[in-house]
Amino acid sequence: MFNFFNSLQLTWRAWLCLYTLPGLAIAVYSFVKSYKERPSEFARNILKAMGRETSVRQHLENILVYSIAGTCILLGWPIYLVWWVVESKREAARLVEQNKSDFDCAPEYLIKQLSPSEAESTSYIVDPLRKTPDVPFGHLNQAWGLFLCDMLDPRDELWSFFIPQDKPTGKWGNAHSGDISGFAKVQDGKILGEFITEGD
Amino acid sequence: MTAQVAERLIYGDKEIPLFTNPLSLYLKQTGISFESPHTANWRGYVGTWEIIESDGVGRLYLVKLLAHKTYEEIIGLSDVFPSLDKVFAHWFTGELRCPQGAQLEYIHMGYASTYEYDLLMNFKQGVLVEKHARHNTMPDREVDPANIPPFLRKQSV
Repeated sequence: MFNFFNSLQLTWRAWLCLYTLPGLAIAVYSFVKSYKERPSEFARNILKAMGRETSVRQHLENILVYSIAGTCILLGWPIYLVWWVVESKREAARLVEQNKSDFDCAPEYLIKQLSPSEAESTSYIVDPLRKTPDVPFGHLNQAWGLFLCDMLDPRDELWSFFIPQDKPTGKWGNAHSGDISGFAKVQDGKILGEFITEGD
Repeated sequence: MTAQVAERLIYGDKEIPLFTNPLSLYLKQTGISFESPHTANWRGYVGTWEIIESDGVGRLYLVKLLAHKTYEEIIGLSDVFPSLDKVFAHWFTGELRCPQGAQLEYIHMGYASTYEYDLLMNFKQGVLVEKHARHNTMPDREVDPANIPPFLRKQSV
C-alpha cells in the first residue's frame, strides 16, 4: 500500500488537496443545508417589523463564523464526520424515545390474564337513571370494541391491570388523583395497548 | 400555557367552577378530539356536570356540553352522546376540585391558580365516595438568598 502511494509521486500540495476534498464536500453540504433551513421570508419580514432584522455587523459576524467553521470542517473533517455520526445516532435514539407509545400501564401493574368474555362479565354499569347503555363497559363499549379489534395477533394476551393512586404512570411519571384500572394488550410481557375503564 | 377555562358543576342551586376534566379519559379512550377555539381552552370544550342522588348515592353526570367541532361549529351533548340528555361518568375515578372564595394567587397555567379554599370530592367509578374542603393560604414565594447560586448573585464592587 505504501509503495502504491509512493508510486503516485504526488506533491504535498496535491496530497493536501486530496485530503481536503471530502471536507469540501461536507462543508458545501452543511452550508447548503444551513441555507435551506434559514428563516422564511415571512419570518424575516416579521423580525423586520419588530425592528430585529440582521444588522450589517451581524452579517459580517456570520461570514466570519461560517469561514472559521468551513476551515475547521475542511481540515478536521474526520473529527466532524465522527461527531456527525454520533449526533445522528443520538437524534435517532431521541426520536425513538419520543415516538414510543405512552401507556399508563406498566408490566408491574398487570394482575391476571383473562379472556374478553371474562372481562366483559363484570363490566356492566349500574345506573339508576338508565342513561347508560346496557352493554359491556357502558359508554366505553365502542372503545372496548376498537381495543379488541386491535388484538389480531395470536400471541396477543389480554390482561387486567390496576394502578394504585399514588403510583406515577406513563413516560413522564404523571400523578393521578385516583386509582386507574383497565385491560392491557400484552405480548411477551410487553405492553402494546391499553383500555382504561376507570381513571381521572 | 394560559390559565384554562373551568368546567362547571351544578352544586345545590349554584353553578360553580370545576378545575378537573372528568371527560378527558372518555375522549382519550374513544379517540374523540375537539378544536381549540383559543389559548384559554386547549381542550376545545366546556362541560357542565351534576351530582345526582339516587337511593342515597351521588353519581356524577355530564348534563351539558359545548364543544368546538371546528372553530366556528359548536356541538352539544346529544351530538357526542346521541339521544342522551345526561351521561353517567362511570369511567371517572379520582378527585374533583372546585375552587371557592377569593383568588389568592393567579398562575398563568392550566388550573394552577390558588383560591381561598377548594371543595374536593372523591369518586369511584362515577360514584361519590367522600367530600371535604381544604383551606388554602397564600403560597410562600419568598426566596432564600442562601439558595441562589453564586453566579446569579449581585456582585459587590
